[in-house]
Amino acid sequence: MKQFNLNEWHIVRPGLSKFDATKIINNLTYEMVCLRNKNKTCSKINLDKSYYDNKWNLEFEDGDANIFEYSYECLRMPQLHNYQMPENFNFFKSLDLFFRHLKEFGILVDKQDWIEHIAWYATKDTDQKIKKNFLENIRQYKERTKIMQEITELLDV
Amino acid sequence: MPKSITLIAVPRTSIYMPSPALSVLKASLQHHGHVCNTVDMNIELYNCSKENNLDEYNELDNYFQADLRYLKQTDFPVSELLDKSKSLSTKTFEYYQTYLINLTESVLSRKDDWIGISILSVNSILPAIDLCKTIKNISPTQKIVLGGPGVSTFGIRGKSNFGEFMIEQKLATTYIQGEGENALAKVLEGETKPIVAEQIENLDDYPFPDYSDFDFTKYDNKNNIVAITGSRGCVRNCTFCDIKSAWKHFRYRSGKNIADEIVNHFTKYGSTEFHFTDSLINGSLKAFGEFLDSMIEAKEKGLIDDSVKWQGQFICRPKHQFPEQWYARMKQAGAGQLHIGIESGSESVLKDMGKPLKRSDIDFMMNMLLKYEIQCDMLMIIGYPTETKVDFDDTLQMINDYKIYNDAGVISGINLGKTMVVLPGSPIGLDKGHWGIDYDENDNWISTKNPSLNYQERVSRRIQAQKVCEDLGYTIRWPLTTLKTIKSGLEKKSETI
Repeated sequence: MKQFNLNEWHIVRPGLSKFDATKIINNLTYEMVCLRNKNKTCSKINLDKSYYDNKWNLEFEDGDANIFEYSYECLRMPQLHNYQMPENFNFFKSLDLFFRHLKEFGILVDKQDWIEHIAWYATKDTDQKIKKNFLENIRQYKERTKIMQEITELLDV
Repeated sequence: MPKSITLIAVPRTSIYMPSPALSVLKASLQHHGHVCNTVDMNIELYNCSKENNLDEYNELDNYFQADLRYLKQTDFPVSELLDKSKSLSTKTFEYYQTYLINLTESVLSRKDDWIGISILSVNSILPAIDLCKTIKNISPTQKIVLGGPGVSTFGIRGKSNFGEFMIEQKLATTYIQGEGENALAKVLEGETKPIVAEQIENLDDYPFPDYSDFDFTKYDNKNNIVAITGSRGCVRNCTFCDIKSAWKHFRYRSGKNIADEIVNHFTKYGSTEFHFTDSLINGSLKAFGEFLDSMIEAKEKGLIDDSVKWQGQFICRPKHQFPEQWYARMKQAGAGQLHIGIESGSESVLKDMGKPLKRSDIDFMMNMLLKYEIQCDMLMIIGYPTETKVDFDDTLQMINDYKIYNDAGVISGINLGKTMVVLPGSPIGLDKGHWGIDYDENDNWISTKNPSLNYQERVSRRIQAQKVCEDLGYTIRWPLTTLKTIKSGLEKKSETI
């Protein structure tokens, strides 16, 4: 596979097998968390300088973003399935996988709290399309959580 | 004398590819000298809703998925079913009614002799009722024929199938149970009674499906996906599955014929992604081997290129039956994604299901999929009648163990389902005594042989499995609609609607 830039994903993706596409995006999710774990000042992925060559080689921009803002900066990307879809289970997976990696790297935050914070950062996004997609996807994600809670409560009755 | 028909595929089908039923029937009716137009209502509704009416579409999408397999078989007011659309919010109901009227008027303006409704599954029952009601309101004498698996896979209020019910309600003229290629031509040529179609013996004799009516740009995919039917029926007899009630015998096309069809669609429509509708693509190893060889040959001759990928339902076989060479050939032949009925992580449950596999067989398969870079979706059944707590823990353990395959891109998703359903036409449904199947006061199935596995316990396990999958970062298929149905059942303390 030829080396490609993160910004070129939409061009590269149609030519990839589903296996490769999933593998590459899963690896991106992992490397994003890994990067933050190594560099606490890492605030945002530099799309132009980050490239895939059997694994992601990510470059970042320095800043003072906390873990919530950094998470949002990553998860807002369409590459991590932040697009519109009737029931966007791919986005749910991005969120779950990202959070799993946070835990594995010992970045311990409460999941509910994390979701609320990244949703708040979404409301501040100046890109209207990304913001709209993210807020709708988060709404669906929170709906899933709520239904799970309600089912658990019904089972406890 | 040639007759004409408009065939309509009602939701809920795929938004990624055209309805295969319409293209198959169009080709065969043309072969019989008739005129056939097609309308994919599923994609038309999606496209006209997705920009400005997504909320209404989402509500409708959920409404279509009311799981009528749980419908009480005893008497209940017919209006509960016929007027179920009134349970929609006012805004969505009005949007839906306007859509149905516009569609009906457009179809009626063609003045075809017949309207045919293709009912793919239980998730097509409500839109079929709603569309037929609209057609009959506008044109009471319009002749309507129903067909598709959804017509005959379950009965309502003592009627043996949905088609009978619709005739009784004067919402349909007739129906076809089984394969429609020859039967639909008979209806157009004057057959007035419902047809229970004989199974077609030689599938190679029929023309390739005709997609000329379809605009592939309307579908949410750039690969111009086309469905392929390589076989009908199943060689297996899994205890939970009712496929044998729909297809008595297993028949399959020659591998060469299937590869020729793929070449045809690749050349004519630029299709590079093919979805098999077969119960199992590797049900017959002989047929599957022939298909792989024909695809490899077509590639070598330059008739198709490496962009051509196919996917389908696949059964895990023991390592000695399906060694590594098979996976290598599959990769060479364009295997992209497999939908695999893993069902359970418990060897004991798998044996009871009629799938006597060792966990090591499944592990071997996953390793091979990783090595040859073939993706899979895992299909699971939670709460099989003999599943104990220990068995269920084996399933959770397997999901945990397969995290590596999920991360590596092998597992594209996991379908946890809505817990085990005792289908009337399945071996368990047909021999309830053997499995100790009985029903509690709310019509939920229980097994006298595994009494702790009641409805609540099944749901509880389902929720545990969901939590484990979420924690591990699996893609869980259709989480919202599935969970909504489970919750709605729990509120009523009943799986039945």
